[in-house]
Order: sequence, then structure tokens, then C-alpha cells
Amino acid sequence: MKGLLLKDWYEIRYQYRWFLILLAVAGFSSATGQGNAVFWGCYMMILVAMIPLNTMGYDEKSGWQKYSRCFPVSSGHLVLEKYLLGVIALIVAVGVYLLFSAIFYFIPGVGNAKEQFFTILAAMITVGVFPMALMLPLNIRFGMEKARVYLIFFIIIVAVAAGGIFAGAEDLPMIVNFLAGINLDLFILLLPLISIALLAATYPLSVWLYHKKEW
Amino acid sequence: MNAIEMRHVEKDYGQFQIKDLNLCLPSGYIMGLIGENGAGKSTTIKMILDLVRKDHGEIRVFGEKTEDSLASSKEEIGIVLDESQFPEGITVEQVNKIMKNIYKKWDEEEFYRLTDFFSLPRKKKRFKEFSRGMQRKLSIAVAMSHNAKLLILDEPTSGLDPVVRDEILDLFNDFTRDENHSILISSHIVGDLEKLCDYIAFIQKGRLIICGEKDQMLEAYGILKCSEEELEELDQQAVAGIRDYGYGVEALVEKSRIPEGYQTEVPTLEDIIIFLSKKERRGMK
Amino acid sequence: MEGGISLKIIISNAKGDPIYEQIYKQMKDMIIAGKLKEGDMLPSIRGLAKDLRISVITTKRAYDELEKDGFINSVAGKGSFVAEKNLELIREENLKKMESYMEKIWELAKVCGMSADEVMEMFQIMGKDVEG
Repeated sequence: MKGLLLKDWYEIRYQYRWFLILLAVAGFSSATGQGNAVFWGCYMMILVAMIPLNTMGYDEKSGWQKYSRCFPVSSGHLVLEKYLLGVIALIVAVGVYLLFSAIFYFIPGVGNAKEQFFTILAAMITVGVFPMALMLPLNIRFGMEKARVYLIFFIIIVAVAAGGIFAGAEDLPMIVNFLAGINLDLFILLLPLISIALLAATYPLSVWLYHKKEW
Repeated sequence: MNAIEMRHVEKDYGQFQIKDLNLCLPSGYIMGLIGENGAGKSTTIKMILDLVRKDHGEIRVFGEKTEDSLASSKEEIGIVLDESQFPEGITVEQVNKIMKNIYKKWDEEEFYRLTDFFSLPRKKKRFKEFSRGMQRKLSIAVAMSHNAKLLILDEPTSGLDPVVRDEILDLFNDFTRDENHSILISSHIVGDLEKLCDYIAFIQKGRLIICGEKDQMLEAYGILKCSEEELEELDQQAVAGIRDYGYGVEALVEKSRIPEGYQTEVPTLEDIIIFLSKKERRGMK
Repeated sequence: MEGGISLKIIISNAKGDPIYEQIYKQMKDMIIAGKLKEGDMLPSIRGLAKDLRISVITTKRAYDELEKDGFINSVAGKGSFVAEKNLELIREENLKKMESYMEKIWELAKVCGMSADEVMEMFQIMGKDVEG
């Protein structure tokens, strides 16, 4: 798998240099404690979620996907590498967020309040992991082109939902009623965990879909 | 042990079908898969590599069924596919670093020896900046740099000029100096395979028209130039294909089945393939 | 491993002779002429095939024929070696050659309209020239 990760790393460096810069900017902005910190946090995570998906798209286009199928690497590992790539990217992104948060902690007036910090973190993890969990198997099954349509759809839904739930829940009576019976704090903590569990759950599905695939 | 065995293999794509394909490549030999584009060569190779599932039949590589074999058995197989294989931004140096971590028996020295031989720049130049020929050469270099026992090559010389093609065919020839090494190579350039191969399999419209020892084929067939009437007199079983050439007919005949005294010319492999494909086309009308 | 002396074998695709026959003939001639001596190791079947750019199956066939006719011996794991000079074999070879030449003479004689006696006379005159 190291070889596969290396290849993705080289590709990201070549194709996505601007991407990485944007990531740093987003990480910075999400830690500043401004009103749109949530937006930046979520935006960053969506960029991150797209990393494994985009590399898969390029694999398809370049013929690497077909070629790598002939390597002495099992389907399980070939798929695992993409999941791993996503997880590594997420950790790095969260790391950037934590780094900037730590820096801003020492600057008075700047930085997120304690609650907001955790809320943003939870939102970020959810927004990063959830689409990955859904899109990875979809990408494998339908290919990049079709899956992309679903992705755009999904980004819109997630952005609205995330914004709605975490930033202005009081303004949406439906959601308020829905959340009335739920301990909001617990919910906020659970969502990222649910997302991570979902990611793990889609792995065997992805492997199965990949194994069935024909070229 | 046979490097590749295919028994009664079938695949149905609706419009196109592969029917009852039987093929055997003994270890230590080179088999050429000949056919026009769309005849089924690539599909056959994909079935051997398990990129495509067969509908019926059995395929074994080094004795193992393709569906049973572990990924690790792919260590022994070097592959060149008919499409591009690498991402745009990759350099030769990066390919080495990647493959080092994929194949257990990766031979970095051999890889660089081959890329140098092919004059491929190691750094700075990206894959998308390579000409088609260079891209092919890179694929070939990779396939031959991990101590593989079997090379499966899908049109490896297509798009290359004759001088380079010759050099590459030499490489393949040398590969089989070792009796444990085998090659399955597909091409629609018959001339390339004529010198190189021990066995020839000719596929047309999903069917194996002929499969056997190349030299034996060249000895068994002859080209007979005669009049139409003379042709009628011969055992029609002996006639493998006909071509009108204005002054009479040209027919490919099985020398053993025609009476003594008929003068035949030595066919090239290309002649045999062309005549046989004509026969099939007429037979299928 | 490669072994044996390098041989000058020339394969022609133009003529109708099967390739294995060409190899067989050339090797046999070399052995009879003494260019290949008893005990000399021949190139490996595979090595020869690859050097000549021909099929291994064909060189194997040539070697099998040579062995069958007693010109070479193959030792498993070691290689193929020129067999002991079998004088009988050589004599037989030369007799075969004479026969085929004689056939040709007969054909030509028929074309010229010569009788057997006339041909014999010619032969005897020639014999005196050769000896003398």
C-alpha cells in the first residue's frame, strides 16, 4: 500500500498544489472565531473529503485503476488505500485547525470560544467523513462522472444541514422540534462518531463493489 | 507446467461473443495472439488477468485458477496493457519509487538500465509530456523489472517505429532465454510476431481460427497460383483461402492434401492469416 | 548457461526448406566435414534459437533428428555433444549423396538423349582425368 499512497501523494502534489494552499487558508479561517468560522471549517473538510475521490477520478481517467488491478495487491488493500488517504487527509486538516486554534488561543480577542471550538470540530469531522463514507462506494460503483453529480447534490444538502443545525437551529422550528427530545450536546458529540462508524461500515461494501467491477 | 491454460472459455457481450476458446501456452515459450482490432484479443487477455469475468470455462495461470489465485501470484506476471497506465504528472524516478513498494522483487537497477536503454529521462519530464512511444517503453520497462516469469503484453509495439519495435522484440526474445520465462503477446502487426513466436493463435470475431506451432504452420501451408478450373479440381478441404489476382487465383493450400507436382510458394505468416481470414469471412456470409 | 562453440548457421526463409531441416543439414555437414569434432559441445537448444531468432521448438526438432540419426548425444542437464565419428554413418551419407547425383545425371542424360553406355564412357574418361 505504501506504493499506492506514494503515487497519490505525487499526484496530489502535482495536481492540487492550489488545493493544499486553500486548505491552509481554510484552516486558518476556521480557527479565528469569526462568524463564518463554521463555514470555513466545513468548507475545508469538504475539500479534504474530495481528495480521495478526486484521486480515484484521475485513476480512472489515466488507466491506473485498470493497471493497479493487475498488481500483487488485493482488492481489499487497493480500496483500503483510498480510505486511508482520506483519513490521513482528514487528520492533517484537523491538525491544521488545531494548530491555528492553539496559536489563536494565546492571542486575546481572536480565536473560538470553548464551546464553539468543539462544535466546529464535531461539525468538521462529520462534514469530512460523511460524504467520504457515502461517495467512496458510489465512486467505485458508478465511476467518477456519475458519482460527481451525486456529490454536488450532497454538498448542498450537507452545507445547508450543517449550517442549519449548528449555527442557527433556533430559527428552524422543524429542527427545533426534532431536537427538542434530544440532548443537543450529546448529539453534537455523537454525529462525528456515527460518521466514522459509517465510514468503517462502507469499507466492506466498497471492497465488494470493487471486486465485482469489470474493465 | 503450463504458463497459461484456457479451456472452453466463453464471454457474451451481446453484439460480440467469445465462443469455446481453448488455448495453451507451455512454460518457456512465446505465443502470439493475432487478430484485427475488435477480434477479441484484448478481451482474452483481460480474462486471463481477471479484469473481466468469463461466463464459462476455465482459465489457469501457472496451474492456479484465476478466480482462486491470490494477489501475490501477480508478482510473477509483467503486464503491458493497450491503454495508458500511468498518471499524467508522474516522472520515471517516481515510478521507480512507487513500484519498489508494490513488487517484492522489484529490481531498481534493471529498471534504470531499461529506461536508460530507452532514453527515458528520469526526472523533470512528466508522463503526459512523453510521446506515445515513450509511454509504451516505460510500461515495458516496468513489466520487465520485477523478475516476472510471465509477460502478458497487449499490443506492446503499437505506435512505435520499426527500429524501436525491433529493439523491443529483441528484448522479448532475450527474456525467454530462460526456460522458466514465457510470453503471451498480442498484436495486429503480424510481421512483428513472425520472428518472435513459437506458437500462434489467430482470433477472429471471438473465435480461434487457428492455434499451433508457428513453424509447423509455415511448413504445412503453401500458396498455389493456378486457374479457377484447376482449383476446382483440388480437394476443397485442402483449400484454406482464396484470392483472385486477375490472371487466375491464388489459394492457400495444405500441402499434404494436394497431389504431388503442384508448385507452391512459401507463405509468410501474414499470408496465412490473410487467407484464413478471407475464408472465414466467406464462410460467414 | 550458454555453452558450446558458436556456429555459423544461416537460415534462409526464401527457399521451401523447413527451418529445422536447414539446421539439421548444416550441422550434419559440419560434423561430417570434421568442422565439429567428437565431444564438442553444441550451443544449447534455447540459446541457438534465440541467437538465430527462430523458434525453440524448431531447434529442438533439429537436435532431436540429429540425435536420432546418431550425429549427436544429449545429456540431460548438461547439453548436446557431437557423437563419436561413426564411419558407417559417414559412408552412408556419402553413398546417399552419390545416389542423388546419379539421379540428376540420369535426368540430364535423358534430355540429351544419351544411353547408359554413353554415360558410363563419359564417366570412365572423367575418372582417368581425375586420377591422372
